Amino acid sequence: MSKNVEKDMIEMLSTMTGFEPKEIKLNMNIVKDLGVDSLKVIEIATAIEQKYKVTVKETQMTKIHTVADSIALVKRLIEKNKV
Amino acid sequence: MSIIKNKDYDVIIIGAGIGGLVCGCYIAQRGLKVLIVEKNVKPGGYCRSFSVNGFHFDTCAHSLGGVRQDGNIGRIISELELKNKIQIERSNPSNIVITPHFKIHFWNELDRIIQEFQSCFPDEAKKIEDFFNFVYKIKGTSFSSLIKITFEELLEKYFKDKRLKAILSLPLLGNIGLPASRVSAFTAVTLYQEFLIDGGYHPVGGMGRLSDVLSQRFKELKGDIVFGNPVEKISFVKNSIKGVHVKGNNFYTTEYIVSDIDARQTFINLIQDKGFFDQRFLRKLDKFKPSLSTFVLYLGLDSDFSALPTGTQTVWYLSSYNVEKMYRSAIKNEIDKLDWFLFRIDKDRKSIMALVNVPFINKEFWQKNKKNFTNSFIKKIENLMPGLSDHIIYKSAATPATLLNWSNGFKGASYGWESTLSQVSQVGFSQATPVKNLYLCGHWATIAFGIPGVAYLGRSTANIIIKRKGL
Repeated sequence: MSKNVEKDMIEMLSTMTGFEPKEIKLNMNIVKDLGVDSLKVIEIATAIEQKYKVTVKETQMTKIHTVADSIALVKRLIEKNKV
Repeated sequence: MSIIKNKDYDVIIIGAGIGGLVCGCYIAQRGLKVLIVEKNVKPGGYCRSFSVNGFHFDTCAHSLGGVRQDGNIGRIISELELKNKIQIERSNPSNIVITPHFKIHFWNELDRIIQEFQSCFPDEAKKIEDFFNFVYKIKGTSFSSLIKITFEELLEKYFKDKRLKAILSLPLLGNIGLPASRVSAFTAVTLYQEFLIDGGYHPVGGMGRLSDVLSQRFKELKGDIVFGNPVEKISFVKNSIKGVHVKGNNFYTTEYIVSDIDARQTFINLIQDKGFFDQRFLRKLDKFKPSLSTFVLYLGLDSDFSALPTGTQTVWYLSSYNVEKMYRSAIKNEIDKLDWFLFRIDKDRKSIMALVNVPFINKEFWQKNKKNFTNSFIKKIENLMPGLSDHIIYKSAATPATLLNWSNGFKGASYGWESTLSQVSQVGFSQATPVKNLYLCGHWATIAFGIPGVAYLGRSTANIIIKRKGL
Protein backbone atom coordinates (compact mmCIF):
# COMPACT_ATOMS: atom_id res chain seq x y z
CA MET A 1 0.00 0.00 0.00
CA SER A 2 2.61 2.55 1.06
CA LYS A 3 4.84 1.59 -1.88
CA ASN A 4 1.86 2.18 -4.15
CA VAL A 5 1.29 5.66 -2.73
CA GLU A 6 4.92 6.49 -3.44
CA LYS A 7 4.65 5.18 -7.00
CA ASP A 8 1.32 6.94 -7.59
CA MET A 9 2.55 10.27 -6.25
CA ILE A 10 5.68 10.17 -8.38
CA GLU A 11 3.53 9.25 -11.35
CA MET A 12 1.25 12.23 -10.59
CA LEU A 13 4.18 14.64 -10.34
CA SER A 14 5.61 13.20 -13.53
CA THR A 15 2.34 13.72 -15.42
CA MET A 16 2.14 17.24 -14.09
CA THR A 17 5.71 18.33 -14.86
CA GLY A 18 6.98 16.06 -17.62
CA PHE A 19 9.89 14.98 -15.41
CA GLU A 20 10.34 11.26 -15.92
CA PRO A 21 9.46 9.15 -12.86
CA LYS A 22 13.09 8.01 -12.56
CA GLU A 23 14.26 11.65 -12.48
CA ILE A 24 12.02 12.42 -9.49
CA LYS A 25 13.83 11.84 -6.19
CA LEU A 26 12.19 11.79 -2.76
CA ASN A 27 14.33 14.63 -1.40
CA MET A 28 13.54 16.92 -4.32
CA ASN A 29 11.84 20.20 -3.47
CA ILE A 30 8.59 20.40 -5.41
CA VAL A 31 8.91 24.13 -6.06
CA LYS A 32 12.66 24.59 -6.37
CA ASP A 33 13.62 21.37 -8.14
CA LEU A 34 10.50 20.39 -10.08
CA GLY A 35 9.36 23.90 -11.05
CA VAL A 36 5.88 23.43 -9.57
CA ASP A 37 4.37 26.82 -8.64
CA SER A 38 1.87 27.68 -5.93
CA LEU A 39 -1.10 27.27 -8.25
CA LYS A 40 0.05 23.79 -9.13
CA VAL A 41 0.54 22.88 -5.49
CA ILE A 42 -3.20 23.51 -5.24
CA GLU A 43 -3.69 21.27 -8.27
CA ILE A 44 -1.67 18.54 -6.56
CA ALA A 45 -3.85 18.87 -3.45
CA THR A 46 -7.01 18.63 -5.58
CA ALA A 47 -5.63 15.59 -7.41
CA ILE A 48 -4.80 13.92 -4.07
CA GLU A 49 -8.31 14.65 -2.78
CA GLN A 50 -9.91 13.14 -5.88
CA LYS A 51 -7.70 10.10 -6.08
CA TYR A 52 -7.69 9.09 -2.41
CA LYS A 53 -11.09 10.51 -1.38
CA VAL A 54 -9.53 12.56 1.42
CA THR A 55 -9.58 16.24 2.39
CA VAL A 56 -6.39 18.26 2.31
CA LYS A 57 -6.40 21.24 4.64
CA GLU A 58 -4.81 24.56 3.83
CA THR A 59 -2.33 24.20 6.71
CA GLN A 60 -1.28 20.73 5.55
CA MET A 61 -0.74 21.98 2.02
CA THR A 62 1.64 24.73 3.06
CA LYS A 63 3.81 22.11 4.78
CA ILE A 64 4.48 20.18 1.58
CA HIS A 65 8.00 21.01 0.49
CA THR A 66 9.58 17.84 -0.81
CA VAL A 67 8.29 14.87 -2.78
CA ALA A 68 8.65 12.81 0.41
CA ASP A 69 6.46 15.34 2.30
CA SER A 70 3.65 14.87 -0.20
CA ILE A 71 3.87 11.08 0.07
CA ALA A 72 3.92 11.21 3.88
CA LEU A 73 0.88 13.49 3.89
CA VAL A 74 -1.11 11.16 1.65
CA LYS A 75 -0.20 8.17 3.81
CA ARG A 76 -1.30 10.03 6.96
CA LEU A 77 -4.59 11.06 5.35
CA ILE A 78 -5.32 7.51 4.20
CA GLU A 79 -4.56 6.15 7.68
CA LYS A 80 -6.81 8.77 9.24
CA ASN A 81 -9.60 7.82 6.85
CA LYS A 82 -9.37 4.19 7.96
CA VAL A 83 -9.93 5.03 11.62
CA MET B 1 21.83 17.12 -16.80
CA SER B 2 24.22 18.32 -19.42
CA ILE B 3 23.25 20.41 -22.37
CA ILE B 4 23.33 18.30 -25.52
CA LYS B 5 25.93 20.00 -27.65
CA ASN B 6 25.10 18.96 -31.18
CA LYS B 7 21.56 20.34 -31.23
CA ASP B 8 20.64 23.62 -32.94
CA TYR B 9 18.46 24.66 -30.00
CA ASP B 10 17.69 23.71 -26.42
CA VAL B 11 14.05 24.63 -26.92
CA ILE B 12 11.90 25.29 -29.99
CA ILE B 13 8.58 27.01 -29.44
CA ILE B 14 5.82 26.57 -32.00
CA GLY B 15 3.70 29.73 -32.17
CA ALA B 16 4.42 33.29 -31.04
CA GLY B 17 1.23 33.88 -29.07
CA ILE B 18 1.59 35.45 -25.63
CA GLY B 19 2.19 32.03 -24.03
CA GLY B 20 4.98 31.19 -26.49
CA LEU B 21 6.62 34.62 -26.27
CA VAL B 22 6.59 34.68 -22.47
CA CYS B 23 7.93 31.12 -22.33
CA GLY B 24 10.66 32.00 -24.85
CA CYS B 25 11.76 35.10 -22.92
CA TYR B 26 12.09 33.25 -19.60
CA ILE B 27 14.06 30.40 -21.15
CA ALA B 28 16.33 32.74 -23.13
CA GLN B 29 16.86 34.81 -19.98
CA ARG B 30 18.53 31.76 -18.43
CA GLY B 31 20.99 31.56 -21.32
CA LEU B 32 19.42 28.64 -23.16
CA LYS B 33 19.17 28.66 -26.97
CA VAL B 34 15.58 29.18 -28.07
CA LEU B 35 13.87 29.42 -31.44
CA ILE B 36 10.27 30.56 -31.88
CA VAL B 37 8.58 29.59 -35.15
CA GLU B 38 5.49 31.62 -36.05
CA LYS B 39 3.34 31.01 -39.13
CA ASN B 40 2.08 34.60 -39.28
CA VAL B 41 4.27 37.54 -40.19
CA LYS B 42 3.75 39.21 -36.81
CA PRO B 43 3.73 37.97 -33.21
CA GLY B 44 0.79 37.85 -30.79
CA GLY B 45 -1.87 35.50 -32.18
CA TYR B 46 -5.19 36.97 -31.02
CA CYS B 47 -3.35 39.73 -29.13
CA ARG B 48 -2.72 42.22 -31.95
CA SER B 49 -3.79 45.68 -33.03
CA PHE B 50 -4.07 47.43 -36.36
CA SER B 51 -4.53 50.94 -37.69
CA VAL B 52 -6.41 51.83 -40.84
CA ASN B 53 -7.48 55.24 -42.19
CA GLY B 54 -6.40 56.79 -38.91
CA PHE B 55 -8.53 54.41 -36.79
CA HIS B 56 -7.00 52.09 -34.19
CA PHE B 57 -8.37 48.66 -33.29
CA ASP B 58 -7.43 45.63 -31.23
CA THR B 59 -8.02 42.60 -33.43
CA CYS B 60 -9.48 40.27 -30.80
CA ALA B 61 -8.16 40.36 -27.22
CA HIS B 62 -9.25 43.77 -25.96
CA SER B 63 -8.14 44.24 -22.37
CA LEU B 64 -5.79 42.89 -19.75
CA GLY B 65 -6.14 41.70 -16.19
CA GLY B 66 -3.61 40.67 -13.56
CA VAL B 67 -1.33 43.68 -13.90
CA ARG B 68 -0.99 44.12 -10.10
CA GLN B 69 2.53 43.51 -8.86
CA ASP B 70 2.09 39.81 -8.14
CA GLY B 71 -0.51 39.28 -10.89
CA ASN B 72 0.29 37.14 -13.91
CA ILE B 73 1.00 40.10 -16.19
CA GLY B 74 2.51 42.33 -13.47
CA ARG B 75 5.03 39.64 -12.61
CA ILE B 76 6.27 39.11 -16.16
CA ILE B 77 6.55 42.87 -16.70
CA SER B 78 8.87 43.14 -13.74
CA GLU B 79 10.77 39.85 -14.17
CA LEU B 80 11.36 40.35 -17.89
CA GLU B 81 12.24 44.03 -17.32
CA LEU B 82 9.53 45.43 -19.56
CA LYS B 83 8.55 48.35 -17.34
CA ASN B 84 10.23 51.00 -19.46
CA LYS B 85 9.10 49.50 -22.73
CA ILE B 86 5.35 49.35 -22.20
CA GLN B 87 2.87 51.72 -20.65
CA ILE B 88 -0.36 50.20 -19.38
CA GLU B 89 -3.38 52.32 -18.49
CA ARG B 90 -6.28 51.28 -16.31
CA SER B 91 -9.88 52.38 -16.57
CA ASN B 92 -12.19 52.77 -13.59
CA PRO B 93 -14.74 51.23 -13.86
CA SER B 94 -13.12 48.33 -15.70
CA ASN B 95 -16.47 47.16 -17.10
CA ILE B 96 -20.00 48.49 -17.45
CA VAL B 97 -22.98 46.18 -17.89
CA ILE B 98 -26.06 47.67 -19.52
CA THR B 99 -29.39 45.83 -19.41
CA PRO B 100 -32.97 47.03 -20.03
CA HIS B 101 -33.22 48.09 -16.34
CA PHE B 102 -29.69 48.74 -15.12
CA LYS B 103 -26.36 50.29 -15.89
CA ILE B 104 -23.89 48.70 -13.50
CA HIS B 105 -20.28 49.80 -13.09
CA PHE B 106 -17.60 47.32 -12.06
CA TRP B 107 -15.45 49.74 -10.08
CA ASN B 108 -11.87 48.93 -9.17
CA GLU B 109 -12.62 49.32 -5.45
CA LEU B 110 -14.39 46.54 -3.56
CA ASP B 111 -16.55 48.87 -1.39
CA ARG B 112 -17.68 50.78 -4.40
CA ILE B 113 -18.63 47.73 -6.44
CA ILE B 114 -20.64 46.36 -3.48
CA GLN B 115 -22.47 49.69 -3.12
CA GLU B 116 -23.17 49.80 -6.85
CA PHE B 117 -24.83 46.37 -6.84
CA GLN B 118 -26.63 47.08 -3.55
CA SER B 119 -28.19 50.24 -4.93
CA CYS B 120 -29.58 48.26 -7.89
CA PHE B 121 -30.65 45.23 -5.84
CA PRO B 122 -31.46 46.49 -2.32
CA ASP B 123 -33.28 43.27 -1.36
CA GLU B 124 -30.05 41.30 -1.79
CA ALA B 125 -27.81 43.86 -0.06
CA LYS B 126 -26.33 41.61 2.64
CA LYS B 127 -25.77 38.72 0.24
CA ILE B 128 -24.09 41.03 -2.27
CA GLU B 129 -21.57 42.03 0.36
CA ASP B 130 -20.98 38.39 1.34
CA PHE B 131 -20.63 37.30 -2.28
CA PHE B 132 -18.07 39.92 -3.29
CA ASN B 133 -16.07 39.44 -0.11
CA PHE B 134 -16.00 35.72 -0.78
CA VAL B 135 -15.05 36.03 -4.44
CA TYR B 136 -12.41 38.71 -3.84
CA LYS B 137 -10.72 37.04 -0.91
CA ILE B 138 -10.90 33.26 -1.31
CA LYS B 139 -7.56 31.48 -1.63
CA GLY B 140 -5.84 28.09 -1.32
CA THR B 141 -7.64 24.77 -0.96
CA SER B 142 -11.04 26.31 -0.24
CA PHE B 143 -10.57 28.06 -3.60
CA SER B 144 -9.56 24.87 -5.41
CA SER B 145 -12.55 23.00 -3.93
CA LEU B 146 -14.73 25.31 -6.05
CA ILE B 147 -13.78 23.07 -8.97
CA LYS B 148 -16.48 20.66 -7.76
CA ILE B 149 -19.44 23.01 -8.22
CA THR B 150 -20.75 25.17 -11.05
CA PHE B 151 -20.82 28.96 -10.85
CA GLU B 152 -24.61 28.71 -11.12
CA GLU B 153 -24.66 26.65 -7.92
CA LEU B 154 -22.48 29.24 -6.21
CA LEU B 155 -24.78 32.06 -7.32
CA GLU B 156 -27.83 30.07 -6.11
CA LYS B 157 -26.29 29.92 -2.64
CA TYR B 158 -26.30 33.70 -2.44
CA PHE B 159 -29.00 35.17 -4.62
CA LYS B 160 -32.66 34.93 -5.58
CA ASP B 161 -32.93 37.71 -8.19
CA LYS B 162 -32.69 36.24 -11.68
CA ARG B 163 -31.51 39.55 -13.13
CA LEU B 164 -28.67 39.85 -10.64
CA LYS B 165 -27.52 36.31 -11.37
CA ALA B 166 -27.60 37.02 -15.11
CA ILE B 167 -25.53 40.19 -14.73
CA LEU B 168 -22.96 38.37 -12.62
CA SER B 169 -22.81 35.57 -15.22
CA LEU B 170 -22.36 37.80 -18.23
CA PRO B 171 -18.60 38.34 -17.86
CA LEU B 172 -18.16 34.57 -18.26
CA LEU B 173 -19.97 34.58 -21.59
CA GLY B 174 -17.72 37.24 -23.06
CA ASN B 175 -14.47 36.02 -21.51
CA ILE B 176 -14.72 32.24 -21.89
CA GLY B 177 -17.86 31.81 -23.97
CA LEU B 178 -19.92 29.88 -21.40
CA PRO B 179 -22.96 30.42 -19.16
CA ALA B 180 -22.87 29.93 -15.36
CA SER B 181 -24.38 26.44 -15.50
CA ARG B 182 -21.44 25.04 -17.45
CA VAL B 183 -18.50 26.72 -15.76
CA SER B 184 -16.92 25.56 -12.53
CA ALA B 185 -17.07 28.12 -9.75
CA PHE B 186 -13.26 27.82 -9.68
CA THR B 187 -12.94 29.06 -13.27
CA ALA B 188 -15.52 31.80 -12.68
CA VAL B 189 -13.89 33.08 -9.50
CA THR B 190 -10.49 33.02 -11.22
CA LEU B 191 -12.02 35.17 -13.93
CA TYR B 192 -13.42 37.59 -11.36
CA GLN B 193 -10.08 37.82 -9.58
CA GLU B 194 -8.01 38.28 -12.74
CA PHE B 195 -10.31 40.24 -15.08
CA LEU B 196 -12.71 42.19 -12.89
CA ILE B 197 -11.06 42.81 -9.53
CA ASP B 198 -7.75 43.48 -11.23
CA GLY B 199 -9.04 44.24 -14.71
CA GLY B 200 -9.60 47.10 -17.12
CA TYR B 201 -5.98 47.48 -18.25
CA HIS B 202 -4.98 48.38 -21.76
CA PRO B 203 -1.50 49.00 -23.19
CA VAL B 204 -0.93 52.43 -24.73
CA GLY B 205 -0.72 51.76 -28.46
CA GLY B 206 -3.10 48.80 -28.30
CA MET B 207 -3.03 45.18 -27.17
CA GLY B 208 -0.52 44.34 -29.91
CA ARG B 209 2.02 46.47 -28.09
CA LEU B 210 2.36 43.70 -25.49
CA SER B 211 3.15 41.15 -28.21
CA ASP B 212 5.63 43.48 -29.93
CA VAL B 213 7.42 44.30 -26.67
CA LEU B 214 7.72 40.61 -25.73
CA SER B 215 8.99 39.74 -29.20
CA GLN B 216 11.53 42.56 -29.05
CA ARG B 217 12.64 41.48 -25.55
CA PHE B 218 13.00 37.89 -26.75
CA LYS B 219 15.40 39.04 -29.49
CA GLU B 220 17.35 41.17 -26.98
CA LEU B 221 17.76 38.02 -24.89
CA LYS B 222 19.38 36.44 -27.97
CA GLY B 223 16.36 34.34 -28.92
CA ASP B 224 15.81 33.51 -32.60
CA ILE B 225 12.41 34.02 -34.14
CA VAL B 226 11.17 32.98 -37.58
CA PHE B 227 8.03 34.59 -38.99
CA GLY B 228 5.85 33.64 -41.94
CA ASN B 229 6.46 29.90 -42.00
CA PRO B 230 4.61 27.20 -40.08
CA VAL B 231 6.09 24.11 -38.48
CA GLU B 232 5.07 21.18 -40.66
CA LYS B 233 6.25 18.21 -38.70
CA ILE B 234 7.93 17.15 -35.46
CA SER B 235 10.42 14.36 -36.02
CA PHE B 236 11.78 11.81 -33.60
CA VAL B 237 14.70 9.48 -33.24
CA LYS B 238 14.24 6.42 -31.03
CA ASN B 239 11.17 7.93 -29.31
CA SER B 240 13.03 11.13 -28.47
CA ILE B 241 12.38 14.49 -30.04
CA LYS B 242 14.82 15.18 -32.86
CA GLY B 243 13.58 18.48 -34.24
CA VAL B 244 11.03 20.38 -36.27
CA HIS B 245 10.53 20.77 -40.00
CA VAL B 246 9.62 24.33 -40.93
CA LYS B 247 7.99 25.20 -44.26
CA GLY B 248 10.62 26.16 -46.82
CA ASN B 249 12.68 23.04 -46.27
CA ASN B 250 14.31 24.04 -43.00
CA PHE B 251 15.01 21.54 -40.28
CA TYR B 252 16.14 22.49 -36.76
CA THR B 253 17.18 20.05 -34.07
CA THR B 254 16.20 20.58 -30.44
CA GLU B 255 15.96 18.92 -27.06
CA TYR B 256 12.59 20.35 -25.99
CA ILE B 257 9.53 21.53 -27.90
CA VAL B 258 6.88 23.84 -26.49
CA SER B 259 3.67 24.07 -28.50
CA ASP B 260 1.73 27.31 -28.19
CA ILE B 261 -0.74 26.16 -30.84
CA ASP B 262 -3.89 24.03 -30.95
CA ALA B 263 -3.47 20.68 -29.19
CA ARG B 264 -5.13 18.83 -32.08
CA GLN B 265 -2.71 20.39 -34.58
CA THR B 266 0.14 19.43 -32.32
CA PHE B 267 -0.80 15.82 -31.61
CA ILE B 268 -2.65 14.90 -34.81
CA ASN B 269 -1.01 16.91 -37.60
CA LEU B 270 2.56 17.53 -36.46
CA ILE B 271 3.20 14.09 -34.96
CA GLN B 272 2.78 11.30 -37.46
CA ASP B 273 3.67 8.43 -35.15
CA LYS B 274 0.59 7.84 -32.98
CA GLY B 275 2.50 5.26 -30.91
CA PHE B 276 3.17 7.98 -28.32
CA PHE B 277 -0.46 8.10 -27.29
CA ASP B 278 -2.66 5.50 -25.66
CA GLN B 279 -6.25 5.07 -26.82
CA ARG B 280 -7.59 7.06 -23.88
CA PHE B 281 -5.55 10.08 -24.85
CA LEU B 282 -6.60 9.91 -28.49
CA ARG B 283 -10.25 9.51 -27.48
CA LYS B 284 -9.97 12.54 -25.23
CA LEU B 285 -8.44 14.53 -28.06
CA ASP B 286 -11.31 13.51 -30.28
CA LYS B 287 -14.07 14.14 -27.74
CA PHE B 288 -12.93 17.40 -26.18
CA LYS B 289 -14.98 20.39 -27.27
CA PRO B 290 -13.49 23.70 -28.36
CA SER B 291 -14.87 26.99 -27.06
CA LEU B 292 -17.09 29.21 -29.20
CA SER B 293 -15.57 31.41 -31.85
CA THR B 294 -16.07 35.17 -32.10
CA PHE B 295 -17.38 37.72 -34.57
CA VAL B 296 -15.50 41.00 -34.22
CA LEU B 297 -16.72 44.24 -35.73
CA TYR B 298 -14.44 47.23 -36.32
CA LEU B 299 -16.13 50.59 -36.82
CA GLY B 300 -14.57 53.96 -37.59
CA LEU B 301 -16.78 56.96 -36.88
CA ASP B 302 -16.69 60.57 -37.96
CA SER B 303 -15.73 62.73 -35.05
CA ASP B 304 -19.12 64.42 -34.71
CA PHE B 305 -20.96 61.53 -33.14
CA SER B 306 -22.07 62.88 -29.79
CA ALA B 307 -24.11 59.85 -28.63
CA LEU B 308 -20.88 57.92 -28.05
CA PRO B 309 -20.52 56.76 -24.42
CA THR B 310 -17.53 58.17 -22.55
CA GLY B 311 -14.62 56.20 -21.17
CA THR B 312 -12.43 53.42 -22.53
CA GLN B 313 -13.80 50.59 -20.38
CA THR B 314 -15.39 47.45 -21.79
CA VAL B 315 -19.15 47.92 -22.14
CA TRP B 316 -21.45 44.90 -22.12
CA TYR B 317 -24.99 44.90 -23.40
CA LEU B 318 -27.53 42.26 -22.43
CA SER B 319 -31.01 42.48 -23.93
CA SER B 320 -32.68 39.99 -21.58
CA TYR B 321 -31.68 38.11 -18.44
CA ASN B 322 -31.41 34.70 -20.00
CA VAL B 323 -27.67 34.18 -20.47
CA GLU B 324 -28.22 30.42 -20.74
CA LYS B 325 -30.44 31.00 -23.76
CA MET B 326 -27.81 33.18 -25.45
CA TYR B 327 -25.33 30.33 -25.12
CA ARG B 328 -27.80 27.70 -26.31
CA SER B 329 -28.65 29.84 -29.35
CA ALA B 330 -24.94 30.05 -30.17
CA ILE B 331 -24.33 26.31 -30.00
CA LYS B 332 -27.51 25.67 -32.00
CA ASN B 333 -26.19 28.00 -34.75
CA GLU B 334 -29.12 30.41 -34.24
CA ILE B 335 -26.98 33.44 -34.81
CA ASP B 336 -29.92 35.84 -35.25
CA LYS B 337 -30.92 35.21 -31.61
CA LEU B 338 -27.61 36.35 -30.10
CA ASP B 339 -28.77 39.46 -28.31
CA TRP B 340 -25.77 40.45 -26.27
CA PHE B 341 -22.40 41.95 -27.18
CA LEU B 342 -19.53 43.89 -25.77
CA PHE B 343 -17.62 46.83 -27.14
CA ARG B 344 -14.70 49.07 -26.40
CA ILE B 345 -14.16 52.62 -27.65
CA ASP B 346 -10.61 53.73 -28.31
CA LYS B 347 -9.18 56.81 -26.65
CA ASP B 348 -9.51 58.63 -30.00
CA ARG B 349 -13.33 58.45 -29.52
CA LYS B 350 -13.68 57.35 -33.14
CA SER B 351 -12.65 53.68 -33.25
CA ILE B 352 -14.99 51.02 -31.86
CA MET B 353 -14.39 47.29 -31.65
CA ALA B 354 -17.43 45.18 -30.76
CA LEU B 355 -17.71 41.44 -30.42
CA VAL B 356 -20.05 38.55 -29.77
CA ASN B 357 -19.33 34.83 -29.39
CA VAL B 358 -20.63 32.84 -32.32
CA PRO B 359 -20.45 29.22 -33.48
CA PHE B 360 -17.85 28.25 -36.07
CA ILE B 361 -20.30 26.38 -38.38
CA ASN B 362 -17.94 26.43 -41.39
CA LYS B 363 -15.85 28.82 -43.47
CA GLU B 364 -18.34 29.03 -46.34
CA PHE B 365 -21.17 29.99 -43.98
CA TRP B 366 -19.29 33.03 -42.75
CA GLN B 367 -18.10 34.03 -46.21
CA LYS B 368 -21.75 34.05 -47.23
CA ASN B 369 -23.19 35.65 -44.09
CA LYS B 370 -20.49 38.13 -43.10
CA LYS B 371 -22.21 41.13 -44.64
CA ASN B 372 -25.67 40.40 -43.24
CA PHE B 373 -24.33 39.65 -39.78
CA THR B 374 -22.29 42.87 -39.85
CA ASN B 375 -25.38 44.90 -40.65
CA SER B 376 -27.60 43.24 -38.05
CA PHE B 377 -24.83 43.62 -35.45
CA ILE B 378 -24.62 47.36 -36.19
CA LYS B 379 -28.41 47.61 -35.74
CA LYS B 380 -28.13 45.99 -32.32
CA ILE B 381 -25.42 48.43 -31.24
CA GLU B 382 -27.66 51.20 -32.50
CA ASN B 383 -30.14 50.37 -29.71
CA LEU B 384 -27.52 51.76 -27.35
CA MET B 385 -26.23 54.51 -29.64
CA PRO B 386 -29.11 55.82 -31.77
CA GLY B 387 -27.96 57.25 -35.08
CA LEU B 388 -24.71 55.29 -35.11
CA SER B 389 -25.07 54.16 -38.75
CA ASP B 390 -25.03 57.73 -40.05
CA HIS B 391 -21.57 58.26 -38.56
CA ILE B 392 -19.77 55.12 -39.72
CA ILE B 393 -17.06 55.97 -42.24
CA TYR B 394 -15.09 52.72 -41.90
CA LYS B 395 -16.28 49.20 -41.18
CA SER B 396 -14.76 45.75 -41.35
CA ALA B 397 -15.17 42.49 -39.49
CA ALA B 398 -13.41 39.32 -38.45
CA THR B 399 -15.50 36.14 -38.61
CA PRO B 400 -14.74 32.69 -37.19
CA ALA B 401 -13.11 31.96 -40.58
CA THR B 402 -10.75 34.90 -39.97
CA LEU B 403 -9.92 33.63 -36.48
CA LEU B 404 -9.16 30.23 -37.97
CA ASN B 405 -6.76 31.88 -40.43
CA TRP B 406 -4.99 33.76 -37.65
CA SER B 407 -4.58 30.92 -35.19
CA ASN B 408 -5.24 27.67 -37.02
CA GLY B 409 -7.03 26.76 -33.79
CA PHE B 410 -9.71 24.05 -33.92
CA LYS B 411 -12.97 25.57 -35.26
CA GLY B 412 -11.62 29.10 -34.85
CA ALA B 413 -12.09 28.73 -31.08
CA SER B 414 -11.67 31.96 -29.12
CA TYR B 415 -10.55 30.47 -25.81
CA GLY B 416 -8.98 27.10 -26.62
CA TRP B 417 -10.87 24.17 -25.13
CA GLU B 418 -14.24 24.98 -23.65
CA SER B 419 -13.73 25.50 -19.90
CA THR B 420 -16.76 23.44 -18.90
CA LEU B 421 -16.86 21.79 -15.50
CA SER B 422 -16.30 18.33 -16.99
CA GLN B 423 -13.44 19.36 -19.29
CA VAL B 424 -11.56 21.20 -16.57
CA SER B 425 -12.13 18.83 -13.64
CA GLN B 426 -11.46 15.54 -15.38
CA VAL B 427 -7.86 16.68 -15.85
CA GLY B 428 -7.83 17.73 -19.45
CA PHE B 429 -4.71 18.66 -21.32
CA SER B 430 -1.91 19.81 -19.06
CA GLN B 431 1.39 21.42 -19.98
CA ALA B 432 3.30 18.15 -19.81
CA THR B 433 2.19 15.75 -22.57
CA PRO B 434 2.53 12.01 -23.24
CA VAL B 435 5.45 12.88 -25.52
CA LYS B 436 8.66 13.19 -23.56
CA ASN B 437 10.04 16.76 -23.66
CA LEU B 438 6.99 18.17 -25.45
CA TYR B 439 4.95 20.76 -23.56
CA LEU B 440 1.82 22.83 -24.23
CA CYS B 441 1.78 26.49 -23.16
CA GLY B 442 -1.24 28.16 -24.78
CA HIS B 443 -4.95 28.12 -24.03
CA TRP B 444 -5.18 24.57 -25.41
CA ALA B 445 -3.68 23.41 -22.12
CA THR B 446 -7.04 23.25 -20.36
CA ILE B 447 -6.40 25.23 -17.21
CA ALA B 448 -5.70 28.62 -18.73
CA PHE B 449 -7.73 31.23 -20.55
CA GLY B 450 -7.23 34.84 -21.48
CA ILE B 451 -4.00 36.77 -21.80
CA PRO B 452 -3.08 36.58 -18.07
CA GLY B 453 -3.81 32.84 -18.17
CA VAL B 454 -1.51 32.06 -21.07
CA ALA B 455 1.15 34.43 -19.70
CA TYR B 456 1.05 32.35 -16.52
CA LEU B 457 1.36 29.11 -18.52
CA GLY B 458 4.27 30.45 -20.56
CA ARG B 459 6.17 31.38 -17.41
CA SER B 460 5.27 28.15 -15.65
CA THR B 461 6.30 25.95 -18.62
CA ALA B 462 9.60 27.81 -18.92
CA ASN B 463 10.20 27.25 -15.23
CA ILE B 464 9.69 23.48 -15.53
CA ILE B 465 12.06 23.25 -18.52
CA ILE B 466 14.67 25.36 -16.71
CA LYS B 467 14.46 22.95 -13.74
CA ARG B 468 14.67 19.94 -16.04
CA LYS B 469 17.83 21.41 -17.55
CA GLY B 470 19.16 21.48 -13.99
CA LEU B 471 19.44 25.29 -13.92
